[in-house]
Amino acid sequence: MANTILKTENISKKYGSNQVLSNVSITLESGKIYGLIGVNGAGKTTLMRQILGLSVPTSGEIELFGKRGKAISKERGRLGCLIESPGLVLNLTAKQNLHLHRIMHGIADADIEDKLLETVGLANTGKKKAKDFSLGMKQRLGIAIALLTNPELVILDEPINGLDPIGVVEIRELIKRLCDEKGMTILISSHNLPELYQCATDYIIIDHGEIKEQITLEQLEEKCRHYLQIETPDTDKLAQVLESKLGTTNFKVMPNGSVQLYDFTDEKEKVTDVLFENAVKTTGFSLMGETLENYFISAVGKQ
Amino acid sequence: MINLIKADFYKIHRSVIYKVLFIIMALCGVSTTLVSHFIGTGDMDIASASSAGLLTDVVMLNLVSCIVAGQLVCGDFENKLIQSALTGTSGRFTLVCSKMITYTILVGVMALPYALCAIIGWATGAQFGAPYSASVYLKILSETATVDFSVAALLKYIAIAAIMALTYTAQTAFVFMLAFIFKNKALIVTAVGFIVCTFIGMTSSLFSQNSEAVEKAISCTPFGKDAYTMCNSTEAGTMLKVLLVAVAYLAVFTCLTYATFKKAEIK
Repeated sequence: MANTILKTENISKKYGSNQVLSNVSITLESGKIYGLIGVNGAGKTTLMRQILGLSVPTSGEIELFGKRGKAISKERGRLGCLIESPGLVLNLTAKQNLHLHRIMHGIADADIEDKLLETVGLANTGKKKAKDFSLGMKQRLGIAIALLTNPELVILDEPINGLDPIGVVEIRELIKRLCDEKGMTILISSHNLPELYQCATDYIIIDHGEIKEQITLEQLEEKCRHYLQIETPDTDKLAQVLESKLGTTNFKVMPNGSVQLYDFTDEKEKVTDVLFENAVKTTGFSLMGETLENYFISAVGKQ
Repeated sequence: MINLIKADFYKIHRSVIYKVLFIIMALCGVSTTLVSHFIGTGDMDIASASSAGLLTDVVMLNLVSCIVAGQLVCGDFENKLIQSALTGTSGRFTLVCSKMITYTILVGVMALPYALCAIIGWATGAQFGAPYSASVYLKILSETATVDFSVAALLKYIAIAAIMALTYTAQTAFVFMLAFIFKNKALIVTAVGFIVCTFIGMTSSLFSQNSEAVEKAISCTPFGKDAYTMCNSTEAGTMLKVLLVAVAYLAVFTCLTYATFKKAEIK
């Protein structure tokens, strides 16, 4: 059974008269990859900063690894993070930057520097200083720094920003690997919905500082699933034809009498031919289902 | 806390600016010592040495301390190392304390060339004048004629030099707090800090001359007269008072800095 590692209870944050977060309550369980989805200014980074202690909530409470109040300060040592841009000293090399952070966090294992550079694909940067790195290289180094403490919860804010397509795939695979092999929990924010869709196991949709929805990948797939909606006055006959002539049971008879067929979504003509040949009266026939983007747009209440 | 201090020194060790500042301080220390020597031997008159007054420890340490505060604190806000430190197990109070300790050590290192020049100059037995009354380090030099070189005298001078370095740190502790308020604006911190510290230094000595009560009040700060008049004949009690005032002042400003930083937003 998954453990709850982070719980926010009605977190609110106000800057002057600007309400940035409103009663945000989320729960993260161990070993999952959470995708935090929201438009610019939705409150993603602000929420992450509250969790990391870089900003103090106006109201509400955070529970981290079962601890609350002042006790969570110590628990933050179990977190790794990359918020916006990484904390780098630009006149140091990648390895020196890792060394600096290793000293800062009191990590004795010196070998971890080379291992992490290898992991994020920066092993061959040698004496090149961070100031000469591309944005993508800086992001990779930021991820390496976030992983330095072997954290249980990794918080990554837009980690694939500035990465080339190959870099995006590598970081995605790395994130999945960290979750699968090391059991790390990852909270990752991104504007890139298709990218998040390929690695996240759970989704948190935030808009105007409010959590609109927290759903699992299965629930999302169910909601975004494409199907053929067939309306007929004779549901029984339709079901019989689908089973006997098309050999599928992957359909659902809905309370309103319509049938949702989850197979043959790319072979609509084949379905209509079979229905016609078997004299199944149809009063409606359409391809239904939402894309991830459309689902997100409908969840935040925008057209 | 020790990890944060070690990390600071790892970074400082690889930074050019601190090395440049140290070289400048060394050049200024040597220059003012030479000026003091030439005045002592009569090769230079005090009037023509007045422009070199800008190179004395009083002015230079004020300026360099402000630059150091800007680099040490604002630099870390700029490159997000403060963020990294806080997302570890270090709390904000630990962070402020570690920075204050690093800052104190750095100011001490920057004062080192003046202290070394003074002690080396004194050990050579050469003649030195005292053209800049506010400079304790140069005052040590002017005592060469009256104080014989001995281990006890040397230890006392080392103690005076160390206390004076701590006093300079305390005088600019305000700038340290300013750096946590302005965060990544190092230039503003350095400029405002230097102007304010110089102003306080000048006005405090001015006000002290006019009122005994004000003088007593100022003597409870690092800007007091006792700090600037330390020499070989200064009693241990006075030295201890100056030391305690500096330490107390640093402690107060560490707490004030923490109070301003406790709930500050870190971008």
